[in-house]
Amino acid sequence: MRPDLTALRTQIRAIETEGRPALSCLPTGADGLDLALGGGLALGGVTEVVPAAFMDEPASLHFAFVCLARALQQRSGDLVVIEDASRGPGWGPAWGQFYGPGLQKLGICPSRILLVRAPDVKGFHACVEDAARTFGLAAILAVSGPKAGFSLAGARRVQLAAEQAHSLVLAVQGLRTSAFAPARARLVITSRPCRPVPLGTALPGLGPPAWRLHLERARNGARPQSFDLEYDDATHSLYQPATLANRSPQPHCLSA
Amino acid sequence: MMLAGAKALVPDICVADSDPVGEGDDLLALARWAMRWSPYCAPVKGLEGTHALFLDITGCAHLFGGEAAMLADMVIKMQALGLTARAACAATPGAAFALARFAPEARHGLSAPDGAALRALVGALPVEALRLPSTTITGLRALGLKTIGQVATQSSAALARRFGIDLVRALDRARGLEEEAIDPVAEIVPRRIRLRLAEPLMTRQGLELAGSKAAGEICTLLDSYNEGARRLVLKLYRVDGVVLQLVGGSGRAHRDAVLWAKVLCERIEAEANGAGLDLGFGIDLIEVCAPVVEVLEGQVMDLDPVAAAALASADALHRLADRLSARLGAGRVTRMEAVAHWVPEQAVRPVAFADRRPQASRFPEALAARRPALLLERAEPIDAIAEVPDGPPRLFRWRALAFKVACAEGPERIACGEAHDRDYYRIETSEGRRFWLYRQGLPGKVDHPKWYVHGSAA
Repeated sequence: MRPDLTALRTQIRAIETEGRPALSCLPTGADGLDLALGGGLALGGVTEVVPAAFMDEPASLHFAFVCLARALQQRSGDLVVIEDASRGPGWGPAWGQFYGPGLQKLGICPSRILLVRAPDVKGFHACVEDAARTFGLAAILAVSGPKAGFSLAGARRVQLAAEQAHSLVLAVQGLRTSAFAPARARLVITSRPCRPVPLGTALPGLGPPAWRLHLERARNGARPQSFDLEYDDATHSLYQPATLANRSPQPHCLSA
Repeated sequence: MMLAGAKALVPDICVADSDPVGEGDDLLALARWAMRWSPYCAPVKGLEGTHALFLDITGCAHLFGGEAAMLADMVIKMQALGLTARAACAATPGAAFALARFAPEARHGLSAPDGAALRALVGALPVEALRLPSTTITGLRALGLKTIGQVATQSSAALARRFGIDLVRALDRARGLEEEAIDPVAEIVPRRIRLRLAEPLMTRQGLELAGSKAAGEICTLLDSYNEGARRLVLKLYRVDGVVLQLVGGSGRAHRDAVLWAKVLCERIEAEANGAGLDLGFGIDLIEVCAPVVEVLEGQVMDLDPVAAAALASADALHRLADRLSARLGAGRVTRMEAVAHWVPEQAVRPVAFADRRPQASRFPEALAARRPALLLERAEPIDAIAEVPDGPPRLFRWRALAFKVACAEGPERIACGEAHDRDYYRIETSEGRRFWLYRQGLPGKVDHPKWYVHGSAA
């Protein structure tokens, strides 16, 4: 790399993070993903989680909750879930409400969740910013409505608030929501068939839930790449399944 | 006079139907407003068409310069509202009622003496002053007993035999011999402060400033009792006699003036943005009371950095939740509470953060292992092709989309009463989408069992 370009990068980074603590990370447990993200989900920053298609919206929420479970394991404090309920309860065209027993299965203690339902988009943005500014929370999940996302300025405010309080913010966006511009990373989630468990019945049983995660954009300069991920409910761990011996080579799978 | 006769005399007379319910509401509002003189204030009950208020002014009169000055103040303030008021003050509510209604001096406020002088004063009043049903009054008049004094000369045993014990009791009450309890309109709160404003407040900014000042004062008051408040009620007395009421809550008791000021300001802002805060011609009196207080034990500072951080983080969460509850309403900031119930939609109950102390609640592990992360509020019917008689579905159609089932786990039977038993299956479609389905009505018992989707991300 040319020396003047490196010097310029250093200069810009110094301006960007002036007077703010250096970013650290929360490892997700999936080695390849952590490597690409520069250590894990950014603390003091927003990570954007987006479904790849309309029917992947529940999967993207499912994955976001898995990330939150990881955060609760590693950080003290509570979890704040803020949803934009301007279009009725639940998300978008009602995939359902957050359900305590199901969250407990993923490793989130239901009594550590504070649920906030904002009545309109404006209130939603104010709540997310307020929560991001609060010290000592384990993580914040902001679930946007189906259409209205954050404006450029609003997104920047949330990002600054998160940097100030060193909080972990996950913004789960709708399919048609505008991108969260200052996000540290943008993860696009597609649901993927799990590895079935043979039960001896006509239909095999369910294996651990699986997703394909496409890292579309990352602030640390990682190139776009995809990961296959699975989550084990019993051990509460996110991992990349080992590639099978007889599989054809798959370009999207990075070995850790 | 008949309405027809009245109309003949004054052709453009204004006529309105009598509205007892509306009048009762107005009287109640007036009673709230009258709490400026005494916290014990109640509308008189039990008599149709009687518009009167009882105020227990024990220990309050000296604040207004004595009983006579207080009564004069009441009459003048009521006149300013466009009401004609008569006020009297006596040893018992019954005597005060009789004097206010029938003594001519009550027009300007009458402060009656005690004992024999009071009995003489009341004795001259007509029997209508006894607050009794009209049948009793007519009966007394038929006997030639026109004044309370005349009735009092009769033997009480004879009166009780003829008119019932109520007459004797009413007589004693009116003559200042028997006490009577009144039922105040508002709960009596021990901790409360008031700000009297020289100029009526017209703007929201001014109101927020005054609210913050009032929050500071009540926190100082709570401090002297070593208490913290769980809830503060901000009452705004409008110049025209309407009282607006805003309630701010907190998840734990505290007396931090800055936080309470923030909560009250949030409530004022939310009210102004929502239904609209109508300040009318201004606010001339602000009252803040703390209906729910708890004794605060002194907190020991933790020197262990980890424990101190945990305490600070719990504190931060409480502050955030209090602020959001004040802004959005308590019902929108909730925690989940586990309920021991088999029916999935009833196994979780949202509990407002401000309502109750959060307690660690967990669901049974074995049950939680088979539940989805997202549960539909109402299960949606689907068309499904399933194995006969009781297998999982193979194909189904939901919201106009077709799904092919690749993996399935179940059934888990949940009894909801004979024909409503549900067989739940966790399924994954060939594309990896996970749903929680159930079949209602068991084959053999029902001809065509119905299928429903009840959750996703199973």
